[in-house]
Amino acid sequence: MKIRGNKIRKPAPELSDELRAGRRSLEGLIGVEILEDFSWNGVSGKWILRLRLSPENLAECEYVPAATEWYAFLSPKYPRGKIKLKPAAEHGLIYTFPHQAINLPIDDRARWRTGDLCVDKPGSIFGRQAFTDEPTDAGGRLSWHIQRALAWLEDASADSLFKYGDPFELPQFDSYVETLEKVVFAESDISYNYWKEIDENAGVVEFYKLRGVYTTYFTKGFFRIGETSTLAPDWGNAITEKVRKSDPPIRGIWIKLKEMPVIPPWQAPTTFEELRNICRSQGIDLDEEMYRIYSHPNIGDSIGRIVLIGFPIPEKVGYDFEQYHWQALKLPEFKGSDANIKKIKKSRHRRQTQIAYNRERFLRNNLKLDWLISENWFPDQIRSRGTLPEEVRAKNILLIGGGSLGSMIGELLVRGGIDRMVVNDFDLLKVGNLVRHTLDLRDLGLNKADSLTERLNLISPFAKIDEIEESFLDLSQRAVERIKECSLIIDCTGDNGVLQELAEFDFDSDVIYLSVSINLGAQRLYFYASEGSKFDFNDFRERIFPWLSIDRTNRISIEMPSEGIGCWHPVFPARSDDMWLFASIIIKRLINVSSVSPVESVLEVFEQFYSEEGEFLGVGLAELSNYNNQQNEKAA
Amino acid sequence: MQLPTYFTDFLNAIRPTPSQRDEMKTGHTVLRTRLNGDKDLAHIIVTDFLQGSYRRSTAIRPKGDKRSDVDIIVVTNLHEDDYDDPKDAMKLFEPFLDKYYKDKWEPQGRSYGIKLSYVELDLVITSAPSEADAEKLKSKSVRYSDELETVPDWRLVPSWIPPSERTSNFAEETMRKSASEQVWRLSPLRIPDRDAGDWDDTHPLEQISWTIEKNQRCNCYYINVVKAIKWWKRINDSLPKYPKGYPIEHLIGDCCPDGINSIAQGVTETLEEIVRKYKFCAATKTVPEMPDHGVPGHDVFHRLTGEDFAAFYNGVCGAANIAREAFDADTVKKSADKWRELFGDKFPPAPDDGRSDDKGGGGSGPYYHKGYTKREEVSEPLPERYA
Repeated sequence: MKIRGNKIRKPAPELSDELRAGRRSLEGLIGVEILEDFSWNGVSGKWILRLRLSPENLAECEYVPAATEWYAFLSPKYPRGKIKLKPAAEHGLIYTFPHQAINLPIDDRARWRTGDLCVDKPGSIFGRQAFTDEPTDAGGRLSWHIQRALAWLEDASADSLFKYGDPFELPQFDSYVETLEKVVFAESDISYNYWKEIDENAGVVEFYKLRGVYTTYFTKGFFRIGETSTLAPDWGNAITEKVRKSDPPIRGIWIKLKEMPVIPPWQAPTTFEELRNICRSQGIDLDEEMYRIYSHPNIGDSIGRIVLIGFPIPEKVGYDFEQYHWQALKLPEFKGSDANIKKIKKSRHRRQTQIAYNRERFLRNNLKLDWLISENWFPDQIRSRGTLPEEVRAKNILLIGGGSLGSMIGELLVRGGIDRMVVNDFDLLKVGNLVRHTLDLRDLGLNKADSLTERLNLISPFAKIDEIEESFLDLSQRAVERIKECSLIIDCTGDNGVLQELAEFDFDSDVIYLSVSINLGAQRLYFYASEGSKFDFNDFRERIFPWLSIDRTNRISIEMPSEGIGCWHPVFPARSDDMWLFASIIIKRLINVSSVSPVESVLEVFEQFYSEEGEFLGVGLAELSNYNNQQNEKAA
Repeated sequence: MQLPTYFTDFLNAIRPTPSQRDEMKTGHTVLRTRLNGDKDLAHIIVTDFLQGSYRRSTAIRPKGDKRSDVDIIVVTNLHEDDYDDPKDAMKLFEPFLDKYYKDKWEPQGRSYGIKLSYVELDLVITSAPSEADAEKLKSKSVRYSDELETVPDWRLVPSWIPPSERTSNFAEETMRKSASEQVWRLSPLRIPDRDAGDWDDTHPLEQISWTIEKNQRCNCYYINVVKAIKWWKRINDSLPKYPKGYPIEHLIGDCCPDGINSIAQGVTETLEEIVRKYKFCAATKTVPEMPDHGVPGHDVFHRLTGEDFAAFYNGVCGAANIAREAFDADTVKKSADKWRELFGDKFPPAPDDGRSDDKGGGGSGPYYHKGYTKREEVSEPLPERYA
């Protein structure tokens, strides 16, 4: 989406000493000439400098003239603020290169073009040598940028802006209209193999449509005319469950190219003519393919305005192709009289005229292409930061208890990449819970499992979280069947009754059990883990008993808060930071536990340590022996 | 090296500050408004306009706490026959001065000096000019009261219009017409002589015209060369007090070659020309004659002594050498250092971090011209701070 500033012209401030020093630092640089000293551009609120750059080591190249003119935009707050370099409209660069925004003319009167140079991305290296980090002082920063620009030009002329092993970058697909729509797909090296095998160049794609700040189209399935197999990403509940049976299908066309559509050196096509030519050079007749789909008797009418142009891309420059990227295009609106195009008859002798009709009437050569933002949300693509290990993600998890600890554990698991989980709680959310829960005011009075599931499904586009609203002590047959599919059961109820009930379950294979709870005052976390086809409640009880005894003796001195006037009900005093601390520890221990097989039954107790003055010192494993000594000392 | 950006910033540092310029503008505007509105003086005032270094854009920042000067000339219709002694004519203005500038004004020989808090206004009156001239003196090009630097197309012609008034098609056409008009050659005006005993010739408009024409022949660098050299004189305590002010400006005007392409070139070649031209005068301690542009009978240097001129000349010799070294230097640092020797701290320093030994690339980073290292590894994203 293009974001434009308001058109109020800002009055010129004083030219600062820092800007003067920055400009002086260009003096003496070889290949740099200041053509026009600072002038104030009220619309952008920047000082601009017109420069001529003539790099010394330019290779022979039709795209890069020996000398090019540029406009440098500096903030009045220089050396802070952005520095932009745009090609001049006259005597400037007219082609688009890598590491550059698409370089198009603006209009007849504009002094510059749109192709901003990207020379300050960290780690990007231009020229045959490494640059120092970007300086932050007035004398250094502009000079650094201009020298990088010179090196960029040299690389551009030698076609070496992309270096083997660099992260792969797409050219900028420009939107012609401001549109708040985007397309999301999920492609990987696995689906790449699928695309490599098939012969067709085009087919039908179905979408899920979700409204939000952006209207997002999720690729539901890719179909080939006449074939039954489809490629369908495994989207999560938040996306698939919004669709109602009565909603009409949302469809578009996919067209598969052999290579990325680029006009050398690195410009994405901006008009239909350019796209047609690129397709033709790859042996694909764009109009013919679109016609074929639109004219299909059963489906043609339902096809909408989105076309996905697919092409293979590598992960890094110079590597083999690894996956497909789909760049979405929005076709112009079919006007009333053009609506007939959709109802194209399949008669042969009219075929060519219809294709020509399409081309001339509404896919005219000079029409600008309206590219949409297109993103690949395959888990590896969007989860490159912070996922749980594979052993954990492979588990089918049951979370019993959607209270404080349960809500936080659920949150950490799904954010860490867990997609399959079922949450069980029969209770309703009350306002007193909000102090240490992940739910909010909107969920008050609603079932905790239901609300948590809705929230968790919204955390990940792939999350398929289900809920069981029944009491664990009174499950339906369907619930029991669902539970039996689980391979990891986490009890966060603090309720022995639940554990006793759990012990009645007979699983078909070994299941990992975690039972986690907090003591009063949230000083200690009790972390119990075991594995087996049945949960051993006695083992749990024996291990935890000594710890609970310690608590009992201490409890007399702690005042117990109550729920409010009325039925007195012990409510444990613990803050969110205590709970998040323990929830995080549980996740970390879970990671360790999952990597060991079989899991030996164990109870670990984590305790918060404070100094005598009440300063937080940390959290660590507590040993029963320490407390036994204390007990003996007390007795004695 | 010519270091144009360095000179731009140097000049910005030696010209009167924006607030000084504001005060100068306010000072003279208010005075002239009051003059023209005063009912006692209205019948004797023909017109008024600005003269002096302020008008010619050759003024440099006043020293320390000193006030900036603005010179105003008031053309009257008082005939010399009626006022043999100019003092009597001047006295007509004293009630006005008392009314608006009580205790702030004093007679200064040929003019009245009005000392405001930050500005000093110098008010000179003239006797009646010829009728033809009187009309011309009321024109916009004469009365235009902003610095010449702001109007590079100024000419002393009937149809010249100030930039702020060129908003209509008519105005634009008039300006176009003015391009083909001949510049007026007016007669000198008559002002009190230094001791105010008699009337004397003066021709500020000719000086102004001469300056702007010279500036145009010098690609608009001339007035900046004047400022730069005046500044050199100002900071050089070893030089004698005189010549200073307009005489120096006149000397520079005579010696500055036409067609210069930078201030650096102008300064260097002007100083060298002075050295060349007045070698003999300096050696014999004689003061060369400097006929005024407007009144050739006046010698601009008439009050200069031979001693002073010789001492000044020696100073110029030294300066010319330094300027030449600065101009011919091949790195930014060497050049800037030399210019700073000449002009002092107001000339910006070049960065000092070992970049200066690059060939011709002085001032550039250590990362551009120090030879290449062939890059072998792939770009690693640099670690940053995250939140």
